[in-house]
Amino acid sequence: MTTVTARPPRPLPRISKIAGRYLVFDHEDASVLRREANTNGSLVGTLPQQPTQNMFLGLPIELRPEEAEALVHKNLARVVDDVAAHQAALLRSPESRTAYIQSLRRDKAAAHRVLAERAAQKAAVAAGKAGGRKKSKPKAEPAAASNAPLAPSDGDDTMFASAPPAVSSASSPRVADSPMDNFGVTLTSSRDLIPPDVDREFEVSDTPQGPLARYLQDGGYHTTPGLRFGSEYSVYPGDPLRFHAHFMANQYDWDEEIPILDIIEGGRLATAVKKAFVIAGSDPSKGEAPENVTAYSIEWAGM
Amino acid sequence: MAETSTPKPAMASANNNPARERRPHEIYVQPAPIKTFPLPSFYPSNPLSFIQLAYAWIGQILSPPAAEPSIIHQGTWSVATTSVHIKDAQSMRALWEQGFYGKGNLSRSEPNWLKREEVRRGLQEGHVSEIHTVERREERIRAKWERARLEQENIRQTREREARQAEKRRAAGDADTPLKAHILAEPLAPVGPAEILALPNSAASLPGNLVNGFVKDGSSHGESSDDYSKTNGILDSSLETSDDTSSTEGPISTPVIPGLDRLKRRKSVRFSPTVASTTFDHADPPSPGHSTNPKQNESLSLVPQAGAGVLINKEHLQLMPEEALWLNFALGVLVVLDGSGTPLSTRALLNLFRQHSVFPPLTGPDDPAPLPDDDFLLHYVVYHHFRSLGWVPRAGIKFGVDWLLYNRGPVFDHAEFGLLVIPSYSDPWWQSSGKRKPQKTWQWFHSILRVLSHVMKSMVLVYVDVPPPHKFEQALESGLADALKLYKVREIMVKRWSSNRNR
Amino acid sequence: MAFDDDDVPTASRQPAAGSEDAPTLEEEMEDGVADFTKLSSMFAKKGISGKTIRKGEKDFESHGTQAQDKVLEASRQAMEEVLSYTRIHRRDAWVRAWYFPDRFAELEGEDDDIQLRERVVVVEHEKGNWMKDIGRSCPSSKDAHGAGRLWLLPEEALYLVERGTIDLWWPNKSFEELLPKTSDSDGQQRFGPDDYEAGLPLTLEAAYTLLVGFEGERGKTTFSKYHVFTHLKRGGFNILRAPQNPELPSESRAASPPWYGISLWQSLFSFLSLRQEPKVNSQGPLVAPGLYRTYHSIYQQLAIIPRHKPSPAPAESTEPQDPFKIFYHVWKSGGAPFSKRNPPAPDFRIAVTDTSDTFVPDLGQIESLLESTPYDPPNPAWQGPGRVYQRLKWGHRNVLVAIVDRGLVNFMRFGEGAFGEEKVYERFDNPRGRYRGGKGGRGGGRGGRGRGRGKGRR
Repeated sequence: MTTVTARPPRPLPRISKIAGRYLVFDHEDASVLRREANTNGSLVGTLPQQPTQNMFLGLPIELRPEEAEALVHKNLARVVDDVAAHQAALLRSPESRTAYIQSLRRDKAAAHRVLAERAAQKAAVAAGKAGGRKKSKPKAEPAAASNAPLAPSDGDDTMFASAPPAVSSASSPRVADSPMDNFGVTLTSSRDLIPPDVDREFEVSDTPQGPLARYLQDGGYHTTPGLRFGSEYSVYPGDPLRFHAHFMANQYDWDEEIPILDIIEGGRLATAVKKAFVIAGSDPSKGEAPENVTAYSIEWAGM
Repeated sequence: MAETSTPKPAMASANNNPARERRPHEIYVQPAPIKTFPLPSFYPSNPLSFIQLAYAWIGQILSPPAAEPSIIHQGTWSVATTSVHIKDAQSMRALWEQGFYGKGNLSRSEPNWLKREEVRRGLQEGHVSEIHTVERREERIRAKWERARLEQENIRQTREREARQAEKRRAAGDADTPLKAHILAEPLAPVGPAEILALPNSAASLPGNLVNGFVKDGSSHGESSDDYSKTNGILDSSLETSDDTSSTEGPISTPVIPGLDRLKRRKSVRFSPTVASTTFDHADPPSPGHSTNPKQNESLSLVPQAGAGVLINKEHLQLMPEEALWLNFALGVLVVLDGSGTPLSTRALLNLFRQHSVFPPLTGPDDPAPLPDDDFLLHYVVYHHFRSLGWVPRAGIKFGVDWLLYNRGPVFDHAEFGLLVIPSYSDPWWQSSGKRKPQKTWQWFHSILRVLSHVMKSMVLVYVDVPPPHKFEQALESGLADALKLYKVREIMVKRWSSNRNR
Repeated sequence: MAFDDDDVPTASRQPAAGSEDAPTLEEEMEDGVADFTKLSSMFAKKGISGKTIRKGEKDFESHGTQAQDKVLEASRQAMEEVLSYTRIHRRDAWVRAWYFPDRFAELEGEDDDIQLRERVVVVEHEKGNWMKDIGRSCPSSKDAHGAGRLWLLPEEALYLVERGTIDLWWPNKSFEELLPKTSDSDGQQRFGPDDYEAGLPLTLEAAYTLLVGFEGERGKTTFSKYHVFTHLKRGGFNILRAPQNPELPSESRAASPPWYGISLWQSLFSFLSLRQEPKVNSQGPLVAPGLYRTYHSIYQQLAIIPRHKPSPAPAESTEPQDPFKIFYHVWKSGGAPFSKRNPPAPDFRIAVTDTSDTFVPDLGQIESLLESTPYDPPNPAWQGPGRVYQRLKWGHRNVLVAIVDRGLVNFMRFGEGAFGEEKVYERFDNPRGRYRGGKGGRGGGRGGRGRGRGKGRR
């Protein structure tokens, strides 16, 4: 189903536990989780390419604790105590950072190349003034292996595909010739910063469980937070990028009393937006495996 | 939206033209079941107004009108429905028209079953809102089906095209074309054209079990996982009041699928393949276990009559306990009889309502006495508070709230506010007694806000501060009013705020 | 007939597009899932064009068609490409900042009116204009060597990293080595972007681990507070943390009359009203039988439940507790240049809650939260029965509560309601017995009531 070419086997996607929340910072991990583990999470970060709007957000992705646990349970991801891992990694001796520094420099080199290409292109366009060769290289620019399309670092209201001003503009007299000195890089994930042994040391296994999360993950459903719909989960038959949600789902304790008004009203609300209201729970004495989850869907038939 | 009005024989003489339909502001001119006798205003600049005033005043001295309230209505307590029933026709009209109390048990709100029956039988001309509602609903369903059919048709064509292309590629020896075009072997929710189209004789069907990378088995969609192979396109033309049952209409009778012309329309839901007993006639009482067969429509016209053309009104007006206590205790216009016909005192009424505010009711000898925060008292305090300010509060269950607040009444406009009642326990006694405050989730809050915003109502959180039992009981000794004075009502207005709109 | 009895009220009562209650773009998107294929085209004109995001483009279920799969794949790839972006800082716009969490750890509370204790990131060289509401300069009294350096709160620093504006480094040398005195500096940077013996650039992930923590951790923000901060920053608002022990704005104090004035007035008033109040028959019925000229006289007997009367200086107010406590002051963008040292009165006051650990507030919580905001009654120009909804919905005090659910931020405006100030029954005594609302209405319910849909101050 994926269109990427074969690559060496990756370790399991890494979930960072920070202050009781579960986040994913690596964009490839996020893709794998979405495509292969029907877990899309919620994007909660600011998009540097477009930082002045609230519709499109960027990494990291936040998962519910139960979602993270469901993935760990099926060996589809691992959770790391990220605060501790970073403390350990950052306090280590500088020698252990070579891998990280190398990846920083690699990205700098790539950025330099891209900018140089654009500058050359612009020069060519300026030279062939009469020609109608508009800027023809939108976002497809970056080399396939590198994953860094370029944008100006201030990011104010500029489209990420537009050509930046040429590097050679002498804005700073101290610009050295070395590309390494021309750029700073902020990587998104700490994949290269945290050595694998530190990761292993701080792996976490006490994530809280939620029977509904496991049930939904097992069934191939995608979920998003359902607050806008008035429920805990919004449940989709496939990727939310393509499909409307089918269900608004709430999890209840086995012995929890559910006010009848809530059922009526949840059903009404769901039906009005072409969904069904789902209430679900599992008997704790039977364990929390997906097959022990009981779920009911409720719809208004009079609409 | 057309209004209903019934020129009753008793009232006809009051109008100049008995046959003229009265406008709403004439029917509902009296805001409460108590009349006032205002004297004409006196304008010093207009000497005539003095004469008018004197005339009216003297007239009232010489033949004083009866003390108000002049009419006391009578109702009966019904345990089964936890409500007070008003059966007298005059009382039904009066209580509805003079403050919008109660609900017709065979109607959506105004008790107009009799009128609708008369219209249905052609005895009366007139618009009745229920019939309009039914017609509108049918129209919506027809439109929905047509859209769904067209969409499914589109999808089917796309599949066929892709299947043909795949076939061509395979024939040309292109080995690594993924075999994707297919129809799911087991049709999935929702009910409707999709399942019809998934019948075996559909041209584009090919085996396959992969969709978007997920292995699909029957359990991956919806909760009733066993019934997907059942087609449920059965439809009954039940919703028309006078249509022939054999006529089918709408887009479903397309010749694509054999046998489709036999299918008729009935109510359906999206996610369940089977829905029981969905046919009904609008004249039937809303009973959950009611089940009909398609021939019901014919039998309805055989309702037995007492005499030629004389219809007996089968409907009564149903008052909520809060409305009944208000009419009895606050206004003094209602007397409630118990099952054996004995009038109940206000105190007895109060106890009854409190006991029955939970299910099962606290009527047994071992049942604890209700606390001052029992459901009835809590809702009554709010009802009384808003009624005493002049609002018309009505049940809000339809929108998931406790009360809807109307400024003039449901016939004039939509309710502007939906009220949620939340108890509050500020007195230290409650703390020491270990009272657990209600903990409502934000999801619950958002879901109600959303329902209300769909119907353009604003949410109001009504906090009711409840006195501790000992203070309450003590005050109750000297009268219900003294006990009610101990409660405090605070309204908090809620509105969604968007950062986008307030930049 | 009965409007609310309609089967599907959605059909008949949708707010007009463009009106105040029409759904925003974000709300139309429903589940907050944006289609990244629209991202570039949307911003091509450097403005948000809502028309390009249409509803109803998604499908209900799998069709099993390749066409559908292609569309999904395109969306996924668009998203993956956007997310794979790495933040690059070009030298001419490079702003480095250093993580020094303990520099002001020992500061006492009273000394610390700019919350230096919480400021853990220092900016090496300031470029750009984001500083107008972000960061505070350290006074020389607090730090002789580092006087004049700009220090950031954790949410400010993390936002700037996430936005790609600053390059946050972990120091390997001391503060003094890395950052010369500003008075000494001749604009030279001692260490460049490749000098990794000075320190290490942090990843976004690392920044999160250092700057986001639990409630109460010094030098860290919480996830919900951070999400509210970034949401509003992205929306163009200016936002500062609310001062710790705020004085209520002087307007509300000035409005309250001196104490002896109150009691005299009140006792006089109650004496008068006592004379008018009829005796209440507590057993019922409340309305004594008799001849009534006005509904007013009837309704007076019905008013037994105490009604809330809002006042500029509430009698007793309790200290608001977390999380129902104002945390951020927010100002709309535009208008006069913003001064973070001397900001004007905020446009909005915000408390932050999270769905995972907070419930709908109880009366005590919402009361103390509201009482910590200034008295803000409805516009006196909104007179008459036609404006009753407008007045009621505005309330007498108001506050915004942010509710965060896994990064999704919703805001609710809570207002102090005062239904007791609106005596709806007074119009029953209108001579015609009919509600006119100031205009000649004709039947129906629309006569001059003015739906109060708020072109006013709201």
